[in-house]
Amino acid sequence: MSEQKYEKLSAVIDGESDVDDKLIQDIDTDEELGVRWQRYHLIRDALTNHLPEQGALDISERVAAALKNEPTVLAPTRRRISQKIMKQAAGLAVAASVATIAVMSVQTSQVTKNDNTTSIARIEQPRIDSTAITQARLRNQAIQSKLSGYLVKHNEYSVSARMQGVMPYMRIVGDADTQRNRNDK
Amino acid sequence: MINRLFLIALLQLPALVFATELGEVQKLLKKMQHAAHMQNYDGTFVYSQGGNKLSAMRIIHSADKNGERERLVSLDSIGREVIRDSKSVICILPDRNAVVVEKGRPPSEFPPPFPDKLDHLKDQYTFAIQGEEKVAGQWAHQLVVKPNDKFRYGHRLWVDKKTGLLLKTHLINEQGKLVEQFMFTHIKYMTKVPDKLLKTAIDSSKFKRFASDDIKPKSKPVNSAPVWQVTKLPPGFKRDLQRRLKMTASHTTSNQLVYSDGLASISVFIENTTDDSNLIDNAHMGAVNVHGKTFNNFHVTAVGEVPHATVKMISESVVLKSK
Repeated sequence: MSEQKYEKLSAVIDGESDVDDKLIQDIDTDEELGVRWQRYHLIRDALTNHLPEQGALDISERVAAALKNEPTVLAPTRRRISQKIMKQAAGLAVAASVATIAVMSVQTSQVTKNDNTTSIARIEQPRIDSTAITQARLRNQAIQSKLSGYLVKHNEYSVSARMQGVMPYMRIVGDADTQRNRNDK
Repeated sequence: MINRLFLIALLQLPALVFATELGEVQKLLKKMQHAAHMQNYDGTFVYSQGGNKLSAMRIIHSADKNGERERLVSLDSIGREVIRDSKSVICILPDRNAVVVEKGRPPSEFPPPFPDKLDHLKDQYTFAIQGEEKVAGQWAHQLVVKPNDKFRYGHRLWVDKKTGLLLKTHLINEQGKLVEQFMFTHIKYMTKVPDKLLKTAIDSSKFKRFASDDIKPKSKPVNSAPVWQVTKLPPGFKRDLQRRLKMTASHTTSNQLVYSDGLASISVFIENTTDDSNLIDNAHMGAVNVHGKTFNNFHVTAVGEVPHATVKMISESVVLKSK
């Protein structure tokens, strides 16, 4: 039974299978499965240059804390978010934590018609309408996550990103302080 | 008769000059590629993307009978390290108390580090060796790669005159602005690199270890004709690759089409999804521009180190091929 669960887990992380409610429930109840889930994600995130901040590794606590501080409208909000986003968010919540959106290694700037440099992080400034915040946050997080995934896949085939042997690794090594700086803000 | 010969010679002169220069450029690029793998050195360089953030790193590179070995150390804040040899890539992350080991991935054949065949490139770019300049105390040839249109970025490369090592690069956008740069500030060439320089000074014995054995590449190139077609491409761009892949973060399947002019590449990702997680319109990640659009039940995202107009043109031109 356990082995099956691990296989399922591994398949999900490799992107071969979708997250289903059963798995989320299992991760919740089975401690070993939860630990594995985090470990697999850490390895993957490290390799794709998406490590969460230190301390975010014990994600469940951070998420729990974040949810506690969130206004009570959170539950109804959830229902309004599309099923797909929730599935993604469930994965992300454990892997990178809802509370640590800003740690994405790729800094994405969304170009809008009014402001050429509006960053996604800035869109997330606290607003009174927490329903909108939660939705916007999940959406931005999903977009960023997707774009950085694309960037990693693109870099594998990018000539200029590989002009020198060190190039692909520069980003891993140089990344620590990008995150640090953002944390200081 | 003599006049006619003279005329022919005169007409051919510009072509001859051009050919010689291209030959020189080609030689320089070959030398640069060789040096990147064969030189022994200990150097410090700075790297910046988008002009905002500057990172300093130390790199030690060794090539001997043991093969190629390399150690890359971040010199800012908590020094992360990457140690690489032919068998593995080890990332030491003191800020995470973690060591991540990636077991040797097969050497990738595509893309080439920098194109060494200029025949295909010379219609899209103009190459020129523009004098000599000092970088990190070394005399370097300055190679200028200028795009012939507004669809791609320009490059400036500074190549060590003696060793052929790439000492400095500039990536320049369509407005002439610098979008990415890399520059050695110090370099020391050696005949042999002492082993201790290739080992980390960090005590990682208490760090958590992660091996990448659990992670296998799941994407396979697809050989069949694409169902998707990009109908508008800048001159010189050709399809290099098509593959279907699973995106780990979003658990979705994506089709990736890679187009390249030999120097710049653009990936087009197509997913059967219309949910909220897709980028509509523009974004950029450092030097990389992104454009996304939704049509029918699909989302198209073009990603590349090219001007925004190029990714926009390409993503907007995607059509489903009628069977």
